[in-house]
Amino acid sequence: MEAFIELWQILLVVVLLILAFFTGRIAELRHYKSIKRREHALGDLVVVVAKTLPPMSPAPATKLVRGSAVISVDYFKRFLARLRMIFGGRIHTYESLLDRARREAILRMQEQAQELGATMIFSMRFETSSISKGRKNAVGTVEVLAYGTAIIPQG
Amino acid sequence: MKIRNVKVPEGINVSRHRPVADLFVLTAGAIGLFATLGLLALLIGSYGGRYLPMSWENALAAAVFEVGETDEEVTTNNREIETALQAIADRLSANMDLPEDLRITVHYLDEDEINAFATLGGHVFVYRGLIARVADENALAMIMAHEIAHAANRDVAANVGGVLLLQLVLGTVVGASPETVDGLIWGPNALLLRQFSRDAETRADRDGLTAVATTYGHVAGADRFFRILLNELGESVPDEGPEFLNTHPLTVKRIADLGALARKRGWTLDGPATPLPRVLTALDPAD
Repeated sequence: MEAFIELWQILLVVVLLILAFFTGRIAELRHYKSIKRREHALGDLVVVVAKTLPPMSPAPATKLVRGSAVISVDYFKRFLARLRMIFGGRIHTYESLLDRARREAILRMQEQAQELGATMIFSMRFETSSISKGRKNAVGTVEVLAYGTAIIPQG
Repeated sequence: MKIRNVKVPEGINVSRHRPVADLFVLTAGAIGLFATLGLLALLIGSYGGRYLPMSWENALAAAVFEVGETDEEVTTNNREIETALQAIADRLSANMDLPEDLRITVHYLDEDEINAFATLGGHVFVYRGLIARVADENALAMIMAHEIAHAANRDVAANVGGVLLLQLVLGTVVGASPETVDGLIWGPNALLLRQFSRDAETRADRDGLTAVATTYGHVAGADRFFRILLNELGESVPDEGPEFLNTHPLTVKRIADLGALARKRGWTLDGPATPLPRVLTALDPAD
């Protein structure tokens, strides 16, 4: 009976890994597709990290804009990352998680700026935090906040 | 001049990799690492346990179980049985090479199981089912000598030491529960450990037979327990599965080995059977 339970647990892990591999992959491909399409569409809304505005006349209105994205890794990626943590090295599976979260956050910020009629975003900054930190066995989830000053031309 | 955002270049922040290949390589690496670590813990623990001072083992045994002392179910009859068994054990251990501080204490278990076992501190337990099925003292003495040999060879301490250290290491490193570790040790995957266990059994068989030969002057009936085991299993050659899956050598092989050892040492295979003490002959397996 105990052997059966242990076998069942191993089997469960294998099934979860296979399922998570495919669902995670599909979700990631779809997300990247959407990110690339929107990045192209919002290409004209320039985002820079410079702090000071170039002289403009008439002076533009400025407004704080922000975009935040929360993304979770799947079971497969977390499993691989935990294995990687034993031996050390680059955790490839988490790279796409952070890349997607950052790009999505910028896009949301740009979308807000576009609605305000802005042409540029100045002084863009990131805040990244793990919202599953300290919780054992929780699937790694990150929140990325992108914020900046939207430049809205007047007149 | 129209300014546009730079197109985000792909493949810099997210590197290309093959996750499935990574998974297989890392899993194999992790299993190999933990297996090596576990084996090392088991070997060091066994070694440590075997060479632990006997007085420590006795102290541990006293702390773990206060055998018989507080058991209210110990009847007068059981005491007589234990005294008779103790007398046999004392005669045997006088002819065995015991560590200085090791004192063999025999306990009787009133259950129908054809078995006997040794635990920490030289405590040997004999089941009613075993005593009821042996016809003479010689067969019983062989089993008891085998168990005493386990205690004398420090096999129990080695076993306990190995398992404890393994539980500690695997518990700390991968958070495995003691039950999981037990499953790993006695599960079908621990073939190497079974080899160790079989080696210890073979050594105990050899030392036991030597003690029987010295005590009784012959080894007649020494293999009778194994023959009883064979009959009990209902076939002349029971199916115990392949030897490498067993913790003990195959029964048929043990009988053959005992005969071979007796011939090699020149011990006579014939001799008068020593009758069992009266209190032991009265035992019935069906009680």
